[in-house]
Amino acid sequence: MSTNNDVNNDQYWEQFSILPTDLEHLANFFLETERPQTLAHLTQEVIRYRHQQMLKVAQEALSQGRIYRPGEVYEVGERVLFPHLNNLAGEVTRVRTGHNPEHEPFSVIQVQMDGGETREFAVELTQEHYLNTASYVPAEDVSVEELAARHGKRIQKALRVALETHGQFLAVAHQWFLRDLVMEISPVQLNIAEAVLYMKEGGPVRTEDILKEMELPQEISRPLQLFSLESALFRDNRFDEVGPAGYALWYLREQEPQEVRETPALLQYMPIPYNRSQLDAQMLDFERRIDDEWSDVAYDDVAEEPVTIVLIYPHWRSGTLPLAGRVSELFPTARITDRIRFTFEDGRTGETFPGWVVRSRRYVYGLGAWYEANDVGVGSYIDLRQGEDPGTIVVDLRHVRAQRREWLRTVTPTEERLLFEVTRVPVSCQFDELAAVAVNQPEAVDDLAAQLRRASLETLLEQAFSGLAGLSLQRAVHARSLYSVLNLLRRVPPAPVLAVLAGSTRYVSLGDNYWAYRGGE
Amino acid sequence: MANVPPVPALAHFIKPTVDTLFHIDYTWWEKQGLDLNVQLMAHLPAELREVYAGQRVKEKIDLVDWDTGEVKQVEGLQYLIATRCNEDPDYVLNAPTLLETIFRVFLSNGNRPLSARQLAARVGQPAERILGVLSGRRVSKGLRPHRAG
Repeated sequence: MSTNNDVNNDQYWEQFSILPTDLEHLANFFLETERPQTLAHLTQEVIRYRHQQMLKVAQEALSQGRIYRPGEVYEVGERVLFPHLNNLAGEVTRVRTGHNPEHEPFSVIQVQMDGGETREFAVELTQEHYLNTASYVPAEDVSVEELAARHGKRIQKALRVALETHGQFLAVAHQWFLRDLVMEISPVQLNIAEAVLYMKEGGPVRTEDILKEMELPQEISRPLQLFSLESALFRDNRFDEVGPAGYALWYLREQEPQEVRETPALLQYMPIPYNRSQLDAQMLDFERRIDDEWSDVAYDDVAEEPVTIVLIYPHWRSGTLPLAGRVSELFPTARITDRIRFTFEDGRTGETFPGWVVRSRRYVYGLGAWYEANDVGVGSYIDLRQGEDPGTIVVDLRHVRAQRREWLRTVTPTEERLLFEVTRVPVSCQFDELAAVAVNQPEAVDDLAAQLRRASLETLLEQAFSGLAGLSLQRAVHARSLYSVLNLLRRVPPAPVLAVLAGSTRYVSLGDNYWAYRGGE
Repeated sequence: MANVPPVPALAHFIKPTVDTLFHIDYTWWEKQGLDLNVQLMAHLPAELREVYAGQRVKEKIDLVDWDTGEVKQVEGLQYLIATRCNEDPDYVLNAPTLLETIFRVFLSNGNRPLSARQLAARVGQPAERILGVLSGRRVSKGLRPHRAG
């Protein structure tokens, strides 16, 4: 027998796992409703179903005997249930006087359990005991919403795994349905979808707007029509789903910007092996503060807005931002799609323009024209925050009142190396003094980087270090400056740079992330 | 790897793990012809020895597990240790050896079965080391795997 006393406490829901009967119930639920559902909704349905099942089973089971209550009187021959002991049950075979000065007077019942063993329990206790009032039937007034709020997250995770591994169910853009009931969309209808997107310059277009142009059987419910169309679009390589989490937006793949379809050359990172144990706490802290998309850093804390990025050369040239740690929390990142179309809003003018998140390659594209129009340079502060409209990100600079000329480290490419000097450069916005670099002839810098592509990181670092050290009276170089300049020649996150510094006998740490040549070369 | 069938009779032959439940098997003391009370008296804190002086050693008392209502008949000394020492961490930790420490855990918790993993948290030693002490070829102080009935 199985009473389900556990239903009342959190333990039952904490140890919850999805059973085949749950999936069977969901299949029937889909058949009845003929409507695709979100995972959150299905989770609630599973909780509701289980809660009802438990109520029923518990009531049935508890009616088959008397529940053990330490304050009550029992007689030989009575059948007793022990819901608090994993639903044990048995028959009272003896009642004797209990002996314990702390509890007297009381009695002890001897119970022959269904499994054959004999155990003894205190009864007729006069002290208050929680088992005297414990309820083993789930409270009917506990709402499914309440249970879902408390345990839904974990159950939803388990349900997702179960649905994904069970071929009977199909997911499209955050909704689930029965695979066999999805209607067939013909090739002609998919051509109509393509034409709709062409008319909108590639997209993005919501599924509903594509559906308007199609003639699908009226007897099929509209939610199922939408789901079936989305399922067919997903399977057709011409279409790309680019919607932020929550709803589907479609784009013609061939009309997506090239920088979205293919990673811009300057952002391509070939992982550089390094010994992470060489990095001390200060270096790891430094790495954490640099928002580099290829850093191996976990961010647990929620970033406060605005999130500020210090722009490095590869992103400046590519019109992109790193999708790193704190920044990635800010941007919409759909669970299924790799590319997400969203809207940038200029924090100063309110002007909007399209942006793309490319999840797998860890960057955000769409800022090239904006960088140019606002005279943004390497090292500029870029502030980002959520816009008022969902899926909109406000991007802003820290503008100075009027353009002025500042002394900045400047690099000019020669045939074999970069030439470093300090020159006066016009600036329109605030920047990080350690990271800022004015770059003359960026195309020639890129050519030089291509020419040096076989050079080791140590060689490139030495070239950058010696150039930067020459600009300082103390011949000291900050790791941030080195990281910024090195990224002119090769895409590299901070950790491998720090590992070269720490592992080489040529350099010595001066503290506070400043480095110099050992022996003051 | 084949699963071991859950046959209680085979429990003696299954190699214990850090999750195997152990307890003091009081029948072991009887079979060995040893007087448990001598051992218990040795584990009684000095202040309780005075309290206990002159009591009837063999008197059986119904020790009530207040969480479950279950009753176990124990001798007076066992009762005294289980009720007076169960909330004193020093009682357990002041034992001279790890074996005695484990023995005291069971004396003071009313002999509720615990695994090496659970004992580790109580005595501050690695579970593997505790398992090594409990699963030696010779049974010590009646500490044996608990056979769930």
